[in-house]
Order: sequence, then structure tokens, then C-alpha cells
Amino acid sequence: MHVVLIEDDEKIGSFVSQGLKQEGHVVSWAREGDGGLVLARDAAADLAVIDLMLPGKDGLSIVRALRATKSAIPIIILSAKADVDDRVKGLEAGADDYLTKPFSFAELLARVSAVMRRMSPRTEQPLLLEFHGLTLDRVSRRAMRAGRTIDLQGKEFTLLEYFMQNPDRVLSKTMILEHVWDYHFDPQTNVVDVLVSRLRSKVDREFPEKLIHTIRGVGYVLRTTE
Amino acid sequence: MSSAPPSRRVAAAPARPWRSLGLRLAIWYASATLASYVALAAILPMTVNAWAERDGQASTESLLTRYKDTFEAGGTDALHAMFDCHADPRSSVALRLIDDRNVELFSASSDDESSHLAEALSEKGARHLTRVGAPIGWHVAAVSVSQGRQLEILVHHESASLRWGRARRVSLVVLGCGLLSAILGAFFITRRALLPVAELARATQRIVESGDLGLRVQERGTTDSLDRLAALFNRMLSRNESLVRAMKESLDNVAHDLRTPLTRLRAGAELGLRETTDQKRAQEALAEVVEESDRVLAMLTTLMDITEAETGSMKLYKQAQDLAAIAREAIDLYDLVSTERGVHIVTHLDPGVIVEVDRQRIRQVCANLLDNAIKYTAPGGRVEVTVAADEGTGALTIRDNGMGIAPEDIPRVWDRLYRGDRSRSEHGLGLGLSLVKAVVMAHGGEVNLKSDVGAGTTVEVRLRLRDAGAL
Repeated sequence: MHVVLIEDDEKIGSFVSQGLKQEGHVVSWAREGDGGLVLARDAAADLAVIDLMLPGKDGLSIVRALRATKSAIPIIILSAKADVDDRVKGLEAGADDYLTKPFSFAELLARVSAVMRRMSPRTEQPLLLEFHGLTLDRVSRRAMRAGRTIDLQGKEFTLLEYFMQNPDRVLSKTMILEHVWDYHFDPQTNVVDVLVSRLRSKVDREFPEKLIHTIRGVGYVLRTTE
Repeated sequence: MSSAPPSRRVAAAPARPWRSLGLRLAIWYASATLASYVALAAILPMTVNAWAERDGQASTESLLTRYKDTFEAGGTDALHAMFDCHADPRSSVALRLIDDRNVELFSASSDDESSHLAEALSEKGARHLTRVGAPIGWHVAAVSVSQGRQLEILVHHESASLRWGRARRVSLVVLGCGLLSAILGAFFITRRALLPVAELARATQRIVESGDLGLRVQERGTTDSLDRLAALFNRMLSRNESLVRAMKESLDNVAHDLRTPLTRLRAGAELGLRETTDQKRAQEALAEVVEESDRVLAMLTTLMDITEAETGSMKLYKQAQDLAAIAREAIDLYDLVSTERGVHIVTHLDPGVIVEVDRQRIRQVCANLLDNAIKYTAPGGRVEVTVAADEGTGALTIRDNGMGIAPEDIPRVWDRLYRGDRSRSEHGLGLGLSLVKAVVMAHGGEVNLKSDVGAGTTVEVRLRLRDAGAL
């Protein structure tokens, strides 16, 4: 996938660019606004990751300019402004997602894949999700592992579904809060930990192979132990 | 960036305009004063002269009448006799008698000057002189006597022309004094009048140069418009001072509050650097660094929110919201946590309690209060959430039967980063209640907390109902 990165900070830029390359993406990195807009418009890119504060054209103007040309390129905004207001402005300008600095790379990756999935209409979500012997029936809302039924409550189901849609992808606390409760700010609580540990006790406790793992400082991931 | 140029403009402005304003005022004032002095100096000698001329003419005419009476009684000899005895040293007199054919029958003059004038009189006649007007100080009069003869007199009052000269000199002196007093007065009055302005300019200059926000302009308590300006200026300075001070204080607080977590962060990072052999422990240290930096970030965000809410710069997107719905969302968020902890949540949520609030912010308030209530309530305890309309306000009450707060700690629970002894073991930043209070106050609402050790804590948030303003 070809990602256009518009970021003026050298360290953050190389951190993101290297990380995305390691994930197998092709990255074009512009360090100022005007060049970035040209890249995002002409380079047949699949995704643009745009910083808001830029020399030359600022991030919001780039997003607006792209949307004005009917460009449908998925856009993720990176910003040092944590204000709800800025988030709303960014999304209103036409961005698909918004990430506040400092951010974890895992979260950026997860948001990139989420945005990409939303963009491709062909990937119709299967009704039955499967991951290493764990299945989730999205119609009957039932989970099974090794032939045993796992009884899930509302939030537990939503979280497991979220994990199984993003296998091997680290999900941050913020993302889980947003997805499960629609809270777009961190209320400084341990509700996510509580939900994950409940889910974990149902999914993993009685099985030797653990599927839900904690990545300290980043979030949680559904994967097999290597 | 945007504030620097205007302040520089203010700094440069005060010195010049007041000076040129003062000069302009002084010139205007001096010109007006001077014009009145010039008018006075011109009118004064003319008036004095006009009076003197009138008096001179009258006395000349009365003198002529006496000569006429003398002549009619005693003829030219009597005229002679009278002329000689009445010679007045302060005036020159010329007298003549002509017949109807303008032949001179008698002529006399008191001195050289008057004889010179007597010639002019005989050449041109009294009528002509009266018609063209005699020079200043000279008076001509003529009277008919018997047999068609005419007696003519020409008097020159020495004192009249002296008076005229003196009057002119006095006017010049008056004019000179006027000029001096006009200029001095103008500068004095302008200076005095503009003194408060100059003082204001100087104070501003001092403040700009020294950056000392405590400086004030002197008020003289006269309640005139300039003094009012000074008072207003001082009020503005006080306001600026308190704002800047508050900002500085909160900045100091934030700097102080960040020091501890940043120290921990640094320590963790150093530990990770030192750990060269054990990969797992190095990873552990790095993970701690990441977690700590998240904490710093959360703290910074919350402190900024509190500061913004307290200073009134927080942007609130107020919309009509159902308070019960917001409470329900928070309860939904904490459903699992409370179940896990064994705390039972009881709700009494009245529908239709509509408040005009920023939904995200009040959700945060609600979540923070619920988080606290559950955190400090022992397993088996109960948290009661009530939403009701009461006296024009929407009241959200969260009551727990947890451990409660010691009376001496109650006033401090709103302080930033304050955590009671028993709450130190729990997760959290110690900013929850500060944020709750700041956000509710920013909405124009109020928060009340009641607590008894062992019996539990009740926090009540009151927000204006949407329709309350109309009632």
C-alpha cells in the first residue's frame, strides 16, 4: 500500500515512515504542506497521514483541498491538539480518523487498517469470525472455543468482535473506549482493563494457549503465542 | 506572536502626541488670550481719547461763549484784556474776530504755536477746520456776534495730546504684559490640564519598560474625566495583573506537578539503558517508561482542561441534553467495574430533565464522580445515582455508602492533585474532583459534597435547566 506521510518533525516522521515500511507499505514523506498536497493528489496514494501544524499549507487546508478535488483518499490526521474541538474540525474537514500526539505506533497501525477496511466495500464482514479455534457467530452472538460455548455479555461480545476483526493488531485503551462505549476522551478509568480481564477469563482461563495478550504501555492484542 | 506589535505601538505613542497636543493647546490658548489683549489695547486709548476730545470741545465752546459775552459787553478792548488775563499755560489759544466779509477785525494768539495755527485759521476759516476736523488736541469753535461778525477760537490743549501718548504707551505695556501672561498662562494651564495624561503616559512607559505589573497610575480623586480615565486604567492594570498572576500560578503548578512523573519517567529510561544483559528487564523498564509518559500526558491534558475551565477559556458546545441519558451512559461505562467490585448501582433517573450543556464535558463529570464513588465503596456497598429537576436546576446526585471523607479533608478534596491518605492506593491522578468542579462552574452550575466517615459521600451537581432562563 502506498502511504503519503506529511509531517515536518524529522523524528516523528522517520519513526512513522520506518514503522510503516516495516509493515510492508511504500511511504512517500513530504516535510511541508504544499509538496504534501501535490503528493497526496498525484501519487496515486492509498492513504494520507497528515500532521496539522505544517510549514506552508497547514493540515486542515490540505484535507479540505483534497476533498474539494473529489479525492476519496483515506486521511488520518496527526495532531498535538487534544481538544475535542480540533477533532471535530478535522473530521468535518473530511478526515477519516484523528490521532493525538503523542501516539503509539501500534495505535496508528490499527487506525490505518481500520480506515482502509472502511474504505474497501468488497470486504463484506463475514458472519462467522474465526481465529485459531475461537469462533464468533455475529448473528447468534455466540462464541465457541474448542467445542465449548462461551457465554458473552453485551460489552464482552463487542470487544471480542473488535479483537477478531483485528487479529494480531494491537488495540489501545482509547480505541477500545471509543469502539465499545463511544467515549472519545479518556475518563481516566480502569474500565477497559476490567472488561478485558473479564473477557480474558472467559476466553483464555481454561485453555493452555492464551489468545488475548497485554502489550504494556500500548494496549491489548489478539494473537497466538509464538 | 500577534500581541507583540500592538504593545510596541502603545509604548511609542504616549510621548509624542501629548507633547504636540500640549503645544497645540498652548498655542490656541495663547492666541485667544492675545487677541483679546490686542483688542483691549486698541480700544482703550481710542476711548480715552474720544472722551478727552469731547471734554476739550465742550470747554473750548464754553470759553468762546465767555469771550462772546465779554466782547458784546466791552468790545475788542475787553477781549484783549480778557485774553491776556486768561492765558492758560497748559493750552495755546488763538482768537479772532471777522466781519461778514471775512475781514479780520481782531486777532490774538497766546504763543508761537497758536500764532502759527492762527494763520491757518485765518487762511481757511473756522468752518473749514471744523468740517475737516482739527488734529488731535486741537479744538475749533465759532460763534456769531452782533452785526454779522463772527468770533472764532482755536485751542490746543497740551494735556490732551500728552494723554493720548500716555494712553498709547499704557496700551503697549498692557499688550506686552498680555503677551507674556498669555504665553506663560497657556503653557502653565496646558501643562496642568495634561498632567494626568502625561502621568498616564509615563506610567505606561514605566510598565512597558520594566514589565512590573504592580505599577499604578496616580489617582487624584477629583472625579473629572481624566481622573476617571486614570481610575479605569488602573482597573485594567489590576485585571491584567490578576490574570497574568493566575496564569503564572497555574503554569508553576503544572510545572511542579509534572516534575514527579517526569522524574519517574527518567529513572525508568535510565534503568532501561543500564540494563545491557537482561533483555526482558530492559523491555520491562521501557514499558514502564511508555506507561509513565501516558500518565504525564493524561495529567497535562487534565490540568490544561481544569485551567481552561477555571479561566473561562474552555470552549463549551452547549446543547440541550437529557441529563438522565448522560448519567445512563456513565453507568453503562461503569457497569462492569461495579459488578466486578461487587458494588451495586441503584438509579432513580427522572426523564425530561433537559440541561443546556456540553455533552462530552458533562459525560466526563459524570464518569469521574461515578469512578470515585465506586472506587471508595467497599464490596457489597451501594452507589445511588439520582437525576431530578429541582428548583429550576437539573440535579445529578451520586451517593455512596463507602468509607467517606474525614471532615478536615473535605475542603481540600477540590484541590488539584490532593489525595486523601486512604485514596493513595487507588488508581487515578487526583484531578478528578478538581476537573468536575471546574467544568461544572464553567457551565454556571454548582457542586456540593457531603460526607461522613464510615457513612459515605454524596456529591450533588446542579446545572441550570434549559427553560429556567425563560421563567
